[in-house]
Amino acid sequence: MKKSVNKANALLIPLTLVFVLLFIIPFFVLFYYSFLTRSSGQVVPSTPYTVSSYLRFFEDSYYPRVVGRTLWLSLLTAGICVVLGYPVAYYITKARGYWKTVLMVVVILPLVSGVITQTLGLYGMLTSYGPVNNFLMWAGILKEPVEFLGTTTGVVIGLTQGFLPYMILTVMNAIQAIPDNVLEAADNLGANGVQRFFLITLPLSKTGVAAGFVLVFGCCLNSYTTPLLLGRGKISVIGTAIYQQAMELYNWPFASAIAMILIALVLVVFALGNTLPGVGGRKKAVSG
Amino acid sequence: MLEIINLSKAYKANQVLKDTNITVNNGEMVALLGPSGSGKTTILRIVAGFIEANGGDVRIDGESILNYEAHKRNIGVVFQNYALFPHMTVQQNVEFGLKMHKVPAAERKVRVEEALKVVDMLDYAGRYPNQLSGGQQQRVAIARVVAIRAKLMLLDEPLSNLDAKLRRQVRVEIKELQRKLGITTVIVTHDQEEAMTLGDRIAILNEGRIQQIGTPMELYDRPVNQFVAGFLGTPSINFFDMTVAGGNWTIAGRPVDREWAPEEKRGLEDGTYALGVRPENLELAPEEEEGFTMPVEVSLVENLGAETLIYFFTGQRQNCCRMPQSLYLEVGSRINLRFTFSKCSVFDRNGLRV
Ligand SMILES: Nc1ncnc2c1ncn2[C@@H]1O[C@H](COP(=O)(O)OP(=O)(O)O)[C@@H](O)[C@H]1O
Ligand SMILES: [Mg+2]
Repeated sequence: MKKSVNKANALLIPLTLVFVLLFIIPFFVLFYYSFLTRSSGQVVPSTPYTVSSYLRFFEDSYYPRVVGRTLWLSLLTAGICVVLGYPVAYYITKARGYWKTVLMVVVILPLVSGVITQTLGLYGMLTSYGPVNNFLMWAGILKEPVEFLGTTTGVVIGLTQGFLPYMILTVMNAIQAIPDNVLEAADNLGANGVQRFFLITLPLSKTGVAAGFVLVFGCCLNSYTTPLLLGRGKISVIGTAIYQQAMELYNWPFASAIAMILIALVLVVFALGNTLPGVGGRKKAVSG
Repeated sequence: MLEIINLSKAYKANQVLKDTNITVNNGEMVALLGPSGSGKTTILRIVAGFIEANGGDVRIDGESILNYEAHKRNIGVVFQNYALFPHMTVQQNVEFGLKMHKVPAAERKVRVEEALKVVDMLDYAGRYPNQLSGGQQQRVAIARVVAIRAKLMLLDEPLSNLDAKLRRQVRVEIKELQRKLGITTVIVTHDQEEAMTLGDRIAILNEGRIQQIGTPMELYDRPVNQFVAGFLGTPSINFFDMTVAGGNWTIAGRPVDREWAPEEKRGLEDGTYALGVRPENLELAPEEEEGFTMPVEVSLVENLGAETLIYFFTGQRQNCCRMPQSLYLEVGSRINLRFTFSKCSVFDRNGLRV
C-alpha cells in the first residue's frame, strides 16, 4: 500500500521539477528584481534595495489607468465569450457522430495554430478596406469604413477570437457532465425543452460558465501579443507595459513590479472566482 | 391498462427487442425480469418516450401514446440511479413536476407534503440529494412520481444500488406503497427473488423476447421453457438427461420401470429430453424402495438450520437437493433420492416444455 503511494509520488517528480524551474524560480527572481535598482546599460539590476518601483506605479494616474483599461477589456471579453460560447458549447454537446468531430476540430484548431498567425490574420481582416469593413459596407450596415485597428473594439475582437475556444471547451465539459437521466427525468416530469434548459441544464452548467469566465478573464489580463498588434501600440495594457519596460527600456525592476501587481490581481480574481456559488469548494449539492 | 404490442427496436444491426408483447392490468404490478442486456431498460425507455421504437405500438387505455412527446405522457419513471436534480432540495425536486403541470402554488404545497409523507421523507424536505443515503434518494424519486399522480409508474431496477439488507426492507415498502396508491406499475429487475416477491405477475425477457408471462407460481411450477425454469428459483432447478426409447425411460443413465413413470407423461415420443426437477422435489429415500430412485454421492452440504442443501454430481453437472430440516451428512456419503414426478417439468431438445 505504502509503496504504491510512493510510486505515484515519484511519477509527479518530473512535472514538479518543470513547474519549479519554469514558474516558481522565475517568480522569486522577479519578486527580488522588483525591489532592486535599475543599473544603466545593464539588464540585471543591482542593489540598493528599494520600493521605488512600486511607488512609481502609483505616482500618477497613467499606470493605474492601464490597469483599469486591462480589467475592463478583460471583463468585456470574458462576458462576450460567455454569450457567444455557451450556445456553441450547448450545440456541440448535443451534436452526434461525424458532425460533432468536425465542430470539435473547428473549436480546437485555433488553439494549436499560434497566437501570431491568428492575430495577423485578424489584422488583415480588420483593416479599413479589409473584408470585414467591405462586407459591412456592402451589407449597408456602414457608410464609411470603421477603424478597428488601434481601438479598444479591435483588441476586444482579437481577444474574444483568441480565448473563445477556452470558454467553449470549459462549458462543454460542464454540460457533458450532466447525466442524461437527469434530463430525461425533467422530460418525464413534464418539462418541455425550454423549461428543461433554463431549469436544469443552465443551473447545472453555471459552474462551467464561471470557470470559463475566470479562465478567459485571467488570460486577457496576461495578454500581450493581441493588444500590441491589434492595438497598434496605441492601446496600452499591463502586458504591453511590462514588455515596454523590460525589453525596450531595460527597466527590469519596474517591469518586475508591474508583473507582481499583475500576479496579485490574477490571484484576487481567482480567489473571488472561488467564492462564486458552486465554483470552488462544491459546498452545495453537485453530485448525482 | 398498458398494452405493449409487437414492439421491436434495433440499434444498428443489434436487434434488441423482437415482437415484444406485454399487457398490464389496471392497478397491477408487473415485474419485468431478465438477465442484464436482455432489453428491459429499452422497453421502459420506449414506453416513457425517451427513445423511439422501430415497430409495434404502446397503448394506454386503448390509445396509442407513441405520438406523444415524453413530457406529455404523464408516466412516472424512477430511474436506476434515481436521477434527482442535484441543485434542488428534496422539496423542490418533488415540486418540479407539479410546476411543470401548472398546478397552483397552494395545491403544490399540499401535494408535495402528501407525497413526501407517503414515502416518509417529510423531515428531509430541505436537504439536497447529496445529503441523502441511496435509500432516501430513491424515496424522493418515488415521491416525485407520486406527486404528479402519474397513471403509470415505471421503475428501473430500483433496488440494485442498495445494500442487501436495505433492499429487503425497501422491497416491502415499495410493494405496500404500490398497493396503497393502487398505481399501475412496471418494475424492472434482474433479480428473480425480487420479481417473485414484488410482481403480481412476472414477464420474463431473454434476448429481446418475452419468454413467459404469468403469476410467480405459474412460472415457477409450469415454466414454458428451460430458460424460464433455470432463471427462477434459488438454488436453481436441476436438469437431468432423459431419454425415451420405445416407451422406456432412462434418467441420468438409470432405467425407469414403465409403471413408475408419471401417467400423464407416458405418451412421450422417443428422443432425448431434459427433466427439470426443483431441489425441493427431491427427497431422501430408503435404499430398497419401490419406484424410481437414484443413488448419489454427496459432494457438498450446506446446513442452514431450517433446511439443508445437499449437492451431488451427475456427470459434470452439479445438482442440488433441499431438505426441509437440519441434516448432518458426511461429504462423500451415499444417499438415495426419490423424485416427485408430479412436479417435474420435461423439456424437449429445443428447450420447450412438453
Ligand atoms: N443507446 C444504445 N446504443 C446501442 N446499443 C444499446 C443502446 N442502449 C442499449 N443498447 C443495447 O441494447 C441491449 C439491451 O439493453 P438494455 O435494454 O439496457 O438491457 P437491460 O436493461 O435488460 O440490461 C444491450 O445489448 C445494449 O448493449
Ligand atoms: Mg437496464
